[in-house]
Amino acid sequence: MRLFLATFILGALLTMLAARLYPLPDTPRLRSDSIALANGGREETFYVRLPDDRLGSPRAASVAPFPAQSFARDGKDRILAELFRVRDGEGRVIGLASKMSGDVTISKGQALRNVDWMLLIPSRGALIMSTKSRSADRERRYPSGYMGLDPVRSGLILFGTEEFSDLTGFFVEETDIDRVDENGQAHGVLKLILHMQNNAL
Amino acid sequence: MNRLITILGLVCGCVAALAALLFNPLGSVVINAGMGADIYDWSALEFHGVEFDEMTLLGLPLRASGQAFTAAGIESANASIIVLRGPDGEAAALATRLVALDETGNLLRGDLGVNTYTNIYWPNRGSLLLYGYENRWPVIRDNVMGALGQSSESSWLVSALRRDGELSGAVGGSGVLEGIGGRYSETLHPNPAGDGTFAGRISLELSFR
Repeated sequence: MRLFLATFILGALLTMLAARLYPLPDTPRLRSDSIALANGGREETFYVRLPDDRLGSPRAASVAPFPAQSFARDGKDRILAELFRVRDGEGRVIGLASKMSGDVTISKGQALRNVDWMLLIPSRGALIMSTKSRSADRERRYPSGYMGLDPVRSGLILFGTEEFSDLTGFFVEETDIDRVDENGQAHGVLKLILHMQNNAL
Repeated sequence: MNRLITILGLVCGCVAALAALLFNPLGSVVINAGMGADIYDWSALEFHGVEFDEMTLLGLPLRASGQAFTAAGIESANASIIVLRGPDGEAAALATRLVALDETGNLLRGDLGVNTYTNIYWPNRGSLLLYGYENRWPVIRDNVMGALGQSSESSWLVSALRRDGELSGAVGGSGVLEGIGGRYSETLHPNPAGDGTFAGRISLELSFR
């Protein structure tokens, strides 16, 4: 009986040790290739090659089969959902992004075009950004002057996780189209240019 | 005789420890949204990347669902476009979701999961941006029990505290949902299409701040 108990405990301890040391999967570390800005922040640009980096249908974004009454009477306010691979400046695929665009109601009879972006770099964290959405954290402060970005085209960085958790700032979306092929597909590069700084500054 | 007792003791110890790990009462606490939450059933219109089933979470290359991205930087992530349906079964909202493996999992705590980022759009109303953490240990436990011939659950409550210590919840919004805060919880179940992916139910408990 004593031998059974001793080996029972040994078996349990070995199993716990194996669970402790089990090599769970991880993601290769990728370094940031951001550059310092004169205003104390940093700039980082993420690239999407079109149409290669679009996930799913290369021609169009997804449109849900909403019932007609969900939309405005003019029927124009489609919601577009798009998914992309994201690259760094050296052309390496480092993450995924989603872009959703659609009209949002700001008051009775008034709507604005809004674009939300989510950027996920698995080894570094995620950034949630938008042109018209606002952070749920009303205390969140933003640097003045849009950190050198165009105020008209800029959107806000609403939230970040992991490496991006302490950052605040702005982003701009730029698309350089080289050509449109015979199928109507645009070939070019979509750039997300981010200007960020530490939230505590 | 002593050798037989030794082997028996070791095997019994291993089995007892595995059972303790699978049903760890001190494991990560899953969170359920309260009464009065808005409930939507969701399913994927498009799904890209690897699904985080028990094989993927444990790093086993066997029977992983979905087609993992080949680029090393995103092989442990997936992206999907999902449609949310209200209680009447009609499509109510369109959403995108990005999911990445959380690398701080711990088998001893019964905590293996994924970080999820969700952007929901309600037609003509507004959008909501959500950040959450799903502990998929219940999925692993029930699939292990299922493989052992035991009956398993048909859906799993997976929402747990995020790594920043907060509840899974809204981090931003637009339109009529601007300034909204609140939390949500999710249950997962196998996609009825049988492709190895999950569908689910999200319970949104939102509040103006």
